[in-house]
Amino acid sequence: MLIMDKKVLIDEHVQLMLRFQAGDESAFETLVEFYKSRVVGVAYRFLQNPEEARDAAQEAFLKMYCARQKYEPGTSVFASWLYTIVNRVCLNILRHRRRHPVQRLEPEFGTEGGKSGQQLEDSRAEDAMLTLMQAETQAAVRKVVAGLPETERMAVILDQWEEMSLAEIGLVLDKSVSAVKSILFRARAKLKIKLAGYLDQEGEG
Amino acid sequence: MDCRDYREKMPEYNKGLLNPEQIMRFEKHLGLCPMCRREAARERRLSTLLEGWTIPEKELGFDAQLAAGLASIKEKERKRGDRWWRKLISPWTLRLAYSGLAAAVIIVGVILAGRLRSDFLFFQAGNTDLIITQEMEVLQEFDLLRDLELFEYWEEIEGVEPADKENS
Repeated sequence: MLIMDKKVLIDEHVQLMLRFQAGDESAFETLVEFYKSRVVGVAYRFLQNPEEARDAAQEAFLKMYCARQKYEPGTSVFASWLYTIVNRVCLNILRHRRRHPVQRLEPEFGTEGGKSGQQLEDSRAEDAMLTLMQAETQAAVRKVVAGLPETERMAVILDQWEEMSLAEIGLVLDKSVSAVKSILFRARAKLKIKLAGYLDQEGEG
Repeated sequence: MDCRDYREKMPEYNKGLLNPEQIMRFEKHLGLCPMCRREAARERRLSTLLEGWTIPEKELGFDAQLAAGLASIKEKERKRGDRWWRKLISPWTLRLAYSGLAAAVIIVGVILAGRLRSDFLFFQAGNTDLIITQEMEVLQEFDLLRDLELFEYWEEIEGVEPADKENS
């Protein structure tokens, strides 16, 4: 059922892209609306900086707008084509970051649950403890994902959060299905080693 | 299949991407192998752990920036579209131009190959006499040049023309 839904969705997005190619701007708006949070999410997890992630997403959509005539529905599904652009934009931002290193203020990932210290005091002790633990776990996951090499990081993001197939990830990263499989295997092995404390802790509980 | 093969297939198993026969084989192996069972549980926990990393809604908006960027691109495209030669560029005209270029390259290649082949066939057909005659003519031209050089040399050395010298 899920696969069927995904297939229908893919066809729908290809149709929207073809309409956009033919000059229908509303089709572009529909695509942006659907993929906006996904693209920011991918960029956010890849770059781990909210501002850069928003810039990357915006740039990716603008590039998509400019390159609309280059899209060929037969060669790739729409999401793969879009995420290929996102991947390139993110890599460019990383390159720029390496060439022009600046002291960046680390975003407050630890309080991503949306509660400030004061609010935590007000809430019940159990909830506060749970939120703190979640925040700590999220911070650990963020740090470990950030430590992966770029290709492995993007592969894990597309596999885990975007639920893309190996073939679709291969199109984004320009790799074969077997190469993607081994990249993911390697990346997950690294994640399991680095997050061993959390994995075993949960296993005991 | 050994444990390594099963471990490679674990993500697909956890996502429910294996076919019923593969699932049956997989679960049979998990029932027999405690190490793989442990690894499958760790794989599932890793996925749960990663899924727990959510992004706050407030970080996802960028509508105003995108609208401004789009307006700028549309303006540029409009200006570019006003140029007369831009109107000629379309996927079809580009394809036509590329086809023309490819045809020109093929024609030049065929002509060059034809000329090389005719020279080769000419030589192979035993027309060596004609070739030797042509070469002799070239050598004679070289002889004439040498004579001319000698003539100029005499002129320079003796200040007399060879004809005068012969008469005296």
